[in-house]
Amino acid sequence: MVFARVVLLRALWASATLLIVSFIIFSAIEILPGDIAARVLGRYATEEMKAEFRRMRGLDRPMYVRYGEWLYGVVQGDFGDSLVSEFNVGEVILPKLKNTFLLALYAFILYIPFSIILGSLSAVFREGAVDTFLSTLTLIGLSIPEFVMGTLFAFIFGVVLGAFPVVVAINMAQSFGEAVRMMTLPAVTLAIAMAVYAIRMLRDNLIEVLDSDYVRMAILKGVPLPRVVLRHALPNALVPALNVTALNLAYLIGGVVVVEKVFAFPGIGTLLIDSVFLRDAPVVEGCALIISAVYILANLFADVMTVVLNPRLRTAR
Amino acid sequence: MSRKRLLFVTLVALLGLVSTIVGARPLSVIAPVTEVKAAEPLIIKFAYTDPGGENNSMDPLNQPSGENHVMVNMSYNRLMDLTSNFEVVPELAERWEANEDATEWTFYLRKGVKFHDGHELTSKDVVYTFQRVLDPKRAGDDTVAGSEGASQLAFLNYDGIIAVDDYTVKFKMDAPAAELPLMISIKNTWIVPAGAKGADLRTSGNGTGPFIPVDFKPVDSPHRFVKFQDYWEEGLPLADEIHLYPLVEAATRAQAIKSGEMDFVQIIDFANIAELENDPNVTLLRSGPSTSMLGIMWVDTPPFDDNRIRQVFKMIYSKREVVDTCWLGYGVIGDDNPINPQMPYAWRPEEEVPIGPDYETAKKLLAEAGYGPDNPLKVEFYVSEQFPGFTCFAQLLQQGAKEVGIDFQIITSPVQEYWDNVWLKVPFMMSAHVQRPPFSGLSISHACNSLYPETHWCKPEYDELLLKASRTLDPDERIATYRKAMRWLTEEGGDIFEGKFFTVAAARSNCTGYVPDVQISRFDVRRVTCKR
Repeated sequence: MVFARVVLLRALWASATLLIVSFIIFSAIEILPGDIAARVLGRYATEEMKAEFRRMRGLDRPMYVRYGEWLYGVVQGDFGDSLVSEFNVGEVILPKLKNTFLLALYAFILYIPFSIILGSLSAVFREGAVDTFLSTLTLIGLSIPEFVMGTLFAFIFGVVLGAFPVVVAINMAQSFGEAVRMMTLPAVTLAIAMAVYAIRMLRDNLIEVLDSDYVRMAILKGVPLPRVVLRHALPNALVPALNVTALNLAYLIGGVVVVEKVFAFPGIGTLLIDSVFLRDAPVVEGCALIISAVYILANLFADVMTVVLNPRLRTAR
Repeated sequence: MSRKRLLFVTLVALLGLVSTIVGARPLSVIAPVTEVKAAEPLIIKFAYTDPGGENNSMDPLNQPSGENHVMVNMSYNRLMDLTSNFEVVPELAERWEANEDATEWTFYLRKGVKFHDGHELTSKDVVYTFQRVLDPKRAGDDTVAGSEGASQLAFLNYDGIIAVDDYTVKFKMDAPAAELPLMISIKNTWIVPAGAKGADLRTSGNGTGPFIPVDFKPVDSPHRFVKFQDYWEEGLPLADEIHLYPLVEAATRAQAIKSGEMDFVQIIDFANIAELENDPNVTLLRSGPSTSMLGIMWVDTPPFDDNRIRQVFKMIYSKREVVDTCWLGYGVIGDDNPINPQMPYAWRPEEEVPIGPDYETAKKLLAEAGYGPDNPLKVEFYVSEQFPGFTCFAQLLQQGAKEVGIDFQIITSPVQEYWDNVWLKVPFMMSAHVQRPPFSGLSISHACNSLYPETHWCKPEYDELLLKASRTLDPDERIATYRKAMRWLTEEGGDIFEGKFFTVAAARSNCTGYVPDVQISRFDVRRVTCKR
């Protein structure tokens, strides 16, 4: 079956990619100027202290030895300990990853109907008032960076209206409902940031499909417009938008640092950036591998969905 | 499989995935609401800045970020506390005395002080604390590489720190130390229990301070601290819990205090002051002159080895303009030496300090030093926006340099890399100093044996002055000697400006008890409270 083959091949490729990624990251941290001992011990640490710290953490050994050791652990499911706090990397990453996952899921749930509905409306009523309005909105959305949008939302809905909290203290949420309310502003910010691309993409694809012969045929045969759009046109128009969505998924897991900072959200993006500054290789590796894995999985998912939506690809050659 | 069925199966799978993830939400989200309703605990929400990531620790031995200061201050005490004017006041030591030539100091400890683990403070804990800062391995802690405080305490004698009895500690030294109580009250000498190791202290902390960390993790939002019920100061602390939120974005901090989500904010950026000033629900709190901003020149490296050139850079900008433009008025000008001119012991020139700029004199000095239109002076100045106003200051210097015909290039470095990769490595750059009392302020980067020779200023006669002052028991005579050193730096040293900015904090108007300190390493929340 074509799925099994796709998945198997992708899994092999993914493992190879992750291996290469991990090596590049390890070397990059090595090459970057500045070192972990200076970060941990502070501005006033002496050279002897720094040397002692490196000796204690085993950083005085050559890079390939440390990389090999780390890889050996990873193969057995142990990502090692943070060089800074000496906590296990899993312990460090997991709570943040859960938070990020929740936020990403929330944003994604908002993103899908948001882009499909607005994208379809734009295409169906193209060049009308609705389309002009939505195009202007998405253009504005495209040109405003997330942190400005986030800060703006926080000001309007947090400070002026007092409807949602500005600081997302997700760890303090007492109920699921409260957690959802807390995450609304960052989730909406993220959903909009992603949707503006998808809406424009979907609009263009859908217009193309609506102009095709089979759609015209369907309309001429008297099929009602909603059915034409939803049943016949949309599935074909969705395929290219899927790849954008896959990219967006990866962005949600890894690249939301800015939104995390604006809303003080304890997620994995901030952890990754902090760890890069601290030159904490095991934590950076852990975060990066998770983000890479999500990226690969999201692309795989997009490919599978493409096959689902496009019957022509379903028969094995 | 038909397309319909395939779609259906995918949808079901997706739904399954979604419900699994939702089911796996953080434990705290589904933690049951506490049902005890008796007397709502007073929880204070405090926003701080400068989180250090996994580097955050509850061990006072090394405190690389502002976050460490905040948390260590909440959980520990020192022998003595310092006021904003660097007066020494009793904390764990009730009183102290020196012998005649100040080579031997005796500290009498407060009785009945408990650590968070319940054991009582004795002199053993004090001896261990100081010995661990000086040499952790020798003191028996092999889990840390050393302490950044060791060099500042180098005048102490490891074996001369003695527990006379349970409540008396002696410091015996080879040379007099007239200001020992002041000099040992640094950010690394918070008292830890005898035998405590860095590996344990880092994650749990164990001090005699007013608050205990709950389930401490280096990175958390919020960090929860609860009142230590056996705290030694009667009736303190006032709050039952303090929750510390790391808010990095200045705009978020301003919004959080405006919306009432935070009760206190540790630092408000100057740019956000205007919008908060007129808010009836917010009180702005201002410290005295705190951290300084300065340009540094290596006095042994051309062209800065010529004092005329150093003087040129001290006069080509307006000191007043730096305070008004770069800090929006929230600061004081400096005297080109590390001591805050507003301190009672600071040296002041007989005439008021020239505010500048003085382009004519600068041009004359440049010409004397052999520079002119045909042979312009070229310099590269390194800067990073460590604190507000740094880049602005560099630009003012650049403008002045242009006026007198100096080719002045600004090289900007990333904030996180600056102390590591630029500081002490280039001859002309910006730096910042926390406020220090005279001896450490004048010696930390200007003594010959300094580990941080910022300006390469090494004059044996200067060191002798400081040494003489530190051994002088008469306060007036001591201050007079320190003033000589300050004046020398102002007239010939490699420090430019050394003005100090104010720290502005904010509180909700129903909250009181927080005073931002001039020393960024001091954070006092014992009296913090809010009317609910």
